Amino acid sequence: MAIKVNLDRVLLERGVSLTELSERVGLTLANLSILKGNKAKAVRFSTLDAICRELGCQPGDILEREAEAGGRA
Amino acid sequence: MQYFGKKSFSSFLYVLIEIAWYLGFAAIAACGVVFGLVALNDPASVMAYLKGTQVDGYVLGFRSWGLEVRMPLSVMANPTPLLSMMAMVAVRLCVIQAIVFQLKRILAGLRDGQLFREEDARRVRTIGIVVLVGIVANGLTSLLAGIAAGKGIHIEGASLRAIGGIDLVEVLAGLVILVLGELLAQAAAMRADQELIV
Repeated sequence: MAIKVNLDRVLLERGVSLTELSERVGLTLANLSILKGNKAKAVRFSTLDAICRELGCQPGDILEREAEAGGRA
Repeated sequence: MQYFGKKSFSSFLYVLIEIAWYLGFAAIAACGVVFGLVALNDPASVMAYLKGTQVDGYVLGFRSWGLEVRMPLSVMANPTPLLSMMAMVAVRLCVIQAIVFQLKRILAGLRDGQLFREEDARRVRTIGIVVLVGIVANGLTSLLAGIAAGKGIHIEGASLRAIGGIDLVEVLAGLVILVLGELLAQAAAMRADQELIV
């Protein structure tokens, strides 16, 4: 997928574990693992808002669009 | 009323379907036994045996257009009509068993609380195909049984003519089941997508 989730990097920078984040934002660990592992097909605005609020970051810090193999940026 | 899960309407239906499943096998076996008895033994003695066991000594009968016709065994010149009727019944029972098997698996999933599975969609589509194939098979076997009855049953003053054909309402039902199967497949795909939305 062209959209890459950088949750693991942001978590590392903030020194927050996935378990701790799941407790703070009220999401299951399984769902957060799906997001962290780039397996999610969609993210709710409410989920993104809660994660950004707890980690003190912007959505752009978590989501990143990668250039596709064909070369289009 | 609870429709899915343990002790629900689905689990009750599952028990009914399970009973129908075993009854279906018993009926197919009974057909096979009668077929074998008539085909392998002396037809006269088998017919005499059947005469003694059937209600009022009648074994041949059919229902159509709101009319039930019953005939004494004496009108049957040879056992071919009986054999063909048994074959016709066996084909119908096999079609019903195929449908019951798929329903059994679907209801087992509903009983366990598993909804919108791709497997169920495939099973519903299979039921639709079985219904459509069954309509053709039933039509053909009915026609063949009708031809056999026309040749093997002699009733004074009556003429017997084999007629084929398919029931359009049944065809429509089969098509509707196919559409429902496709709908369920879409629902299963949506569910799979939904599972990956966080």
